Amino acid sequence: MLEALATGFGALLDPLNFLILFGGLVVGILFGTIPGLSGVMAVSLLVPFTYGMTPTHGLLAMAAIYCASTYGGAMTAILFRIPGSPENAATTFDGYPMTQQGRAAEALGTAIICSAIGGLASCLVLIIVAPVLAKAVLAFGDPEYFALVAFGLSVVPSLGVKSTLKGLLSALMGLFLATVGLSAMTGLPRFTFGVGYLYSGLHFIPVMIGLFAASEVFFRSEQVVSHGEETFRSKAALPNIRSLLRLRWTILRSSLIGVIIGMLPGTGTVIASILGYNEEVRWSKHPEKFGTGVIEGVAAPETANNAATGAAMIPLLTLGIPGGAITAVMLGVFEIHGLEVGPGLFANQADMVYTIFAGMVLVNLLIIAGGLVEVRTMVRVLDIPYAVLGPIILVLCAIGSYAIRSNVVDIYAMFAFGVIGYIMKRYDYSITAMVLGLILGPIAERTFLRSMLLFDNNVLTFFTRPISGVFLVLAALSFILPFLRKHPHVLRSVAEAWRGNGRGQAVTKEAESSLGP
Amino acid sequence: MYRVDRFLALGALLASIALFINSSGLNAKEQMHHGQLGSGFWPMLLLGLIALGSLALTVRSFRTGPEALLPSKSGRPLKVAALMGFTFFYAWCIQVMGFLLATPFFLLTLLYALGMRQVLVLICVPLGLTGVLGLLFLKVFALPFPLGHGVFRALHLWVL
Repeated sequence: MLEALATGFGALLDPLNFLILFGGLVVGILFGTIPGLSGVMAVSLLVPFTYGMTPTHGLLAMAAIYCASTYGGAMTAILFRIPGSPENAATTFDGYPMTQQGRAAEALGTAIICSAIGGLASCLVLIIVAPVLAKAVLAFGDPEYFALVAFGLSVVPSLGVKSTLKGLLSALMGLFLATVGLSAMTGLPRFTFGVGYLYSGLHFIPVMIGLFAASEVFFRSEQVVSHGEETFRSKAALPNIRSLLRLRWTILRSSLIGVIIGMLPGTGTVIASILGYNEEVRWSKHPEKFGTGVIEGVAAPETANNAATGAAMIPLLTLGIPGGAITAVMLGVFEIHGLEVGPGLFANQADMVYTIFAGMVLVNLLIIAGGLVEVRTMVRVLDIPYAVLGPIILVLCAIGSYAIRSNVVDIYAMFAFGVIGYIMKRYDYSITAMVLGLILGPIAERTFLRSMLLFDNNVLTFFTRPISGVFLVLAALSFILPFLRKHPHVLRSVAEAWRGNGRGQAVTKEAESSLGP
Repeated sequence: MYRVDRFLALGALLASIALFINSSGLNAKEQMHHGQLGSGFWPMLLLGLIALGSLALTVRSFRTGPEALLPSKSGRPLKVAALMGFTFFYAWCIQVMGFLLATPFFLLTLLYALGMRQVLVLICVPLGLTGVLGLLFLKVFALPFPLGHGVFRALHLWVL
């Protein structure tokens, strides 16, 4: 492993590799910072460029964008209270009050350092755990994959949706959309209505570009973003060693949360940052101060969301299951180049895999240097009016969709999903849940039907096999707990009923004993 | 809960029922082995759940009093509808006029529609961006962009 990693770092000495990595870093920070642009959009738009690249170059650029964009959104979140991407939403809670107090530099510096530390922690886990998981994954059969997908989907109620029912409906619709086209099991066309385009199914890249990027342009064109009159400090001073040491437990805790959440398929950085913030509030001696400009409130979400980036690559590389939207697009790049993700990837493409790992380590180190330099530039880019940015994004969306299959209908599909995404966003349906359903749907259907075929339609197989059983129990818990947390009265009434029942039984026993034999 | 949720949920309910009926015919078309689950099983399961979910949402929206229902978020729906319509028109133009000719017109119109009035921006952004993208995708990556039909195709080929 060390030898392969050394080869990976060696490959980064190639000027072209380094240039691609640096380019990815700049683009990632840019897309992460500018409201309306996101890391998902950046990697989606990069897809057509990867045709002309080697898989290593393409994936290196994407990994760099992934890491950098997760950090990039912190800048606008702190300075303008505009999260560049959803994973930076929690950073605004304390980051913006710090700016109002004239502590913008401290907040930005902490965000830079914590993002880098979180990212490095996840890289470490990725390098150590991924090969182990790659071996362990060989024990995975169809029932285990199905259980894993179910576990990934069980996160829907925790996706920060305003209505759990709407979130579930969005996920179900995504799962249904994945059934359009020829059935993978029998080859029978489903829901194609004689339209030739639909026979090959809906490709998830145009759908995702539409849902995430085009819908955002439609949405933003309606609600013009105002930068306000906040003062901007062009120099981001790094926090000193003493203040970093004070944050050591925050960083450690949030790194752990980020890595665990990131590893779970289908969760991603958004939940990691919100959970990181929540846990910080829970562990703090002064939880009441959060939201008024507490430095831990910036450190926790920024560490957690970056820690989730590398970890999200683990299910992608070892199981072929994307951890989030960005890794889903990366899966597309693997497909484009005919590479099969899974345990075989480590055996057949070790050089490429370890070059990507090494690239991610380097990007996280470059974030510190690049972050400081880019702070000044960002202000100017942010000054570009959305009237100019919006149309440019739409053209790039069209190219990104067309380039996948050189099919103009993909552009129509992308715009159609842009409209759907706009409506979903406007009325609080979950785009993320729909995309999760769309991505995990084909795997869920295939593995479920295969399991049924192999085990004579015995549904109990999923529960009697240890790995799938554990995942399904975890899925059930992960599905139910957020609901119970949202509706504590349900839990209370169940507890009361339980207590009442117990008391009733005790009374009966007392009565029986008083009657004698 | 928004007022429009009633219509969205009701629409989803009706669509899921219609598609459920459509997918029930899928299994009949197949020569399956005894007990094997057909192509229709999975979509029927999902459509059943969607129908249940949308039914719950419909019931909830009707049980919520009209005063508790939120109106649509304020904004400029007409502007957005026009923008959406124009993007579809752009997709059609790409087919007919080709990418290099349709894109600058799309950019110019959209920039103007979104409030950009600086002549320099209105000229430089559409031409510059189309030029850069055309150069990158057509020349560097050799992606087969649509060249349009008839005179547009001839014009494209002349430019290239």
